[in-house]
Amino acid sequence: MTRQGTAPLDLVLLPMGYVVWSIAFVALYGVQGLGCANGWHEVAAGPASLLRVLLIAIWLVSLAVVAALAAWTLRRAMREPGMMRRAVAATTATAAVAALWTGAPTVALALCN
Amino acid sequence: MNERAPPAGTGAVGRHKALHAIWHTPGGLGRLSAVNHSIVGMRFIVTACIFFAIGGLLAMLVRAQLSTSHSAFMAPDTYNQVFTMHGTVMMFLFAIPMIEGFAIYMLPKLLGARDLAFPRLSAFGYWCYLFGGAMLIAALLLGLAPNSGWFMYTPLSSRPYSPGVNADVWLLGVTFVEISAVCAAVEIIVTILKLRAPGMSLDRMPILAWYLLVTAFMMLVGFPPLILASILLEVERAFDLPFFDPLRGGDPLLWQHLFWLFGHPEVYIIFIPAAGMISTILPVFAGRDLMGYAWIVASIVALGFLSFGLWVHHMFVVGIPHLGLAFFSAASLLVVVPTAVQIFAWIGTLATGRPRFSVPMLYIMGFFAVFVIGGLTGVMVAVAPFNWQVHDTHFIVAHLHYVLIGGFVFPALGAIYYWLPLATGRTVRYPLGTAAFWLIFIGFNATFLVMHLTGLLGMPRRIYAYAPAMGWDWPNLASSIGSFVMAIGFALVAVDMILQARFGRKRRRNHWAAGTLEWATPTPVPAYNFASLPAVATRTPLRESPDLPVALARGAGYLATARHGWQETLCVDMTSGAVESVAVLPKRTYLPLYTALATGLFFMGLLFKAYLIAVVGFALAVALLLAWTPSSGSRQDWGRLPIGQGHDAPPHWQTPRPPSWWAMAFTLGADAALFASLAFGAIYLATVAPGRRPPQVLADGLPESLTAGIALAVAAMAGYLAVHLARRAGTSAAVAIALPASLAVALAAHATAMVALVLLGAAIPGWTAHAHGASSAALVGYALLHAGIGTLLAGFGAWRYLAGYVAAARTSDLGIGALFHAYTAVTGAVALLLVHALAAGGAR
Repeated sequence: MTRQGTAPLDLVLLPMGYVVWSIAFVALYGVQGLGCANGWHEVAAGPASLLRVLLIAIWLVSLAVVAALAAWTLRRAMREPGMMRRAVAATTATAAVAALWTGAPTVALALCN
Repeated sequence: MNERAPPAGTGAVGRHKALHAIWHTPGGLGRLSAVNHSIVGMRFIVTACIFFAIGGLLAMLVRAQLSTSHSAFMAPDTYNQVFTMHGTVMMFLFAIPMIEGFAIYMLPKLLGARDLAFPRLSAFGYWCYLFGGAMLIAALLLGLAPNSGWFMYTPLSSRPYSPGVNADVWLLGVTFVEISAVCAAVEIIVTILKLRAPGMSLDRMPILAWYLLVTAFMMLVGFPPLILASILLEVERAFDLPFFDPLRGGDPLLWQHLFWLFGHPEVYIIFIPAAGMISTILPVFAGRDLMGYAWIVASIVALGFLSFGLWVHHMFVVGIPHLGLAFFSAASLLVVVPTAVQIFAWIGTLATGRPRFSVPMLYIMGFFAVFVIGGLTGVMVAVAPFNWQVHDTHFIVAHLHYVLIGGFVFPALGAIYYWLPLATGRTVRYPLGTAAFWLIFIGFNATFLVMHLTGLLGMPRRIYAYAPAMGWDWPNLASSIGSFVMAIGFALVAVDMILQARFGRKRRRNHWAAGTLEWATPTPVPAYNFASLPAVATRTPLRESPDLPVALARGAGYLATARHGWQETLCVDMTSGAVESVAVLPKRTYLPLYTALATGLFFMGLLFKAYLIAVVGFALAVALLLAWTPSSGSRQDWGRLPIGQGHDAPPHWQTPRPPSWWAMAFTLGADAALFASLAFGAIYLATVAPGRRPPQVLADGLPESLTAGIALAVAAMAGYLAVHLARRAGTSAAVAIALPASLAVALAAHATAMVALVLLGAAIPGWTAHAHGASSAALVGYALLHAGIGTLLAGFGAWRYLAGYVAAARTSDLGIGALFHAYTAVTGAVALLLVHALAAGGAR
């Protein structure tokens, strides 16, 4: 009558890459606003300001998480083929690229002006 | 009583008669009791078309006014009302309800179900939409319409600058309408995930269901920020709590953040279903499967998320630091990629198929041309320096019309021509449809292509007159002429639809030789959709089995036999599509209409500041909602019911997580989005907004907060304990005592929390003196409202238990309550912590 070829995990994993991206995106914008309001961009932290270090840290951590998720889902899709697994892998892989692209400005751009 | 064998089959005609007797809606006044998805969906669509005509008429007035530099057609205040209402009507009363109506009408047919998961909810949503929309249009006729632009920026929409009732009409009318959007979102999600044909696993779903699923999730998260913003602004206007007043610690930019948190995803909420229409129609005319199904699913999900990361690109000129601009500029450029994936998939499908062209395809080709131009200007305005140059000019007006008309109206017109034979059982008259297309296409481009130039020449939006020396006369005149050509085209479409419905050639099933299940129904579609439900093994079951409609009519599928006068459809596992239960749906009733009328009374009371009437309306609406419940569930166990094909399944009330449990879970998701927006607003005002320090902050309030927090936690634990005990109901005397006791504890704990929260709210100083007090009061108010609803739900659970609806096999009523109690405990704790954190921050 029915088949069991699609696992509940697929439905959970499908948005997961972009959930991480969303959290990182909101965190970057939020910390930037808070940092500028509280003068963190004028506090030195090694070669950069405290605010820049924080923002780059958020970016790199989110990138690491979503990249790891993408690598795992890609391996899973190659091991167990199926439409849902392909969609999950494609979604998380593009989320990793999205995280790389939207967070990159933290490295160079002026923080609070 | 356990029913093990269905009555003997009575043949296709007998089956039709039996099902029709159960599912049909009577004519005359009885029609007002309709909850059937085909009727409610069609009502949404027709009403949205009427609002489209009103919005179009307003657009004509705008174009008449701007056609020459010395026009004295309208006075400034009238013009402000007209352009504000044009945007408001098109966005809130046409586009979104049209999508809701389309989803409500189509989804059960596409998924192989007999109706939606919550028919009364969609009927209630429709009435809210109609009454809210009527409120806005009545205000327009009385000259009291909103006049601050469709995005109602503060301080223009605040009381000092909009002292009349106009802004209140928008805030309350739109919020009334948005109830229907949230209802529809929950309805769509639960229906797609739970009410599919047996065997329709996620990877076999028609692609349109994926599009609508993502859209519904976006509505669930996207609308609450707007609802919250409207509530806060209305509270500011009515009770002087200064959320947006910069002189008292508020910030007008908070409105912009909350509005565009809704407003930008709204564009995609409109576009994504339209893209789904294309992904469904185009392969039929290409004569092959859609290319890249998995990639398209991935791109829809990506689009859904990325579209939320763009809201600040509407605020590029408000002085946000460059890095902030860069985040949103990057996301705005990125969103092009998943859109392009779909466009290339469509082109690939056409290129590798054998395309045949008819009216629906004509509109899809029109979509390609118009939407791609809109997308390209979208990339231009995503780049901050260019955005600064054209911000608030007619370039933006041209861009947004290319995106919205190209991305929604063209596909929707194609969809109407494609699916109308399903609704009417008649086919199109091509020449009129083709002529209408060319009038719309040429008129549209004449209007808006030129408007890019008008904007680049510097003409701002929303001005009612301009000097001849500006050189804007000829492009404006060209746009006005084009807009009237386009309007003639739309009028011709309306005529064509009426002619087709009335005089079109009669046709039977599957007019376009499509493969999806909606074409397996008889045409026009009966109230029950399918005489028996199909078992699905592919994405295009009708292509693999062209005889499927006949087989289903003969009763070869599931639930072929009517029993007990129940309206039945099947409930499946979310991912695999395996049958879980028989969903017994509620029958036609006037209750949704009455409940919407009571809700309308509440909103009218607020609008006219007659708060006693508002309280009466609210109480009536709650009482009527409770009156929905006795006909849901059962006071007896039915065991497993035969569903045909040698299988059986329990009725939905005998499962721990029926569709109503999921509805509560997703509604709480929307609620969480509203709470997150409120928390964001409070934190934003306390940290980033450039306001002076609060004169007073909450001095203590710890005993009240601790009492409320502990009481809410106790209520949550008692709720889950009740579910646990209910599963053991009838096993011992101890359980018989402990179960009602736990329900009583939940009730008492919520009531205690309410008292503590009222005392805490009273202890917060300066509600109207500073945004700090206002934010704290709003957070406490949120927790108080939820404790109140929790009290009601705990009482409801106790009543269901005492009335015999709860048993060891029937625990879902208590499960739904427990879910709410847990949510209230968590958000209540966060709200209380935030209130004290804000007080500590404000005191420093």
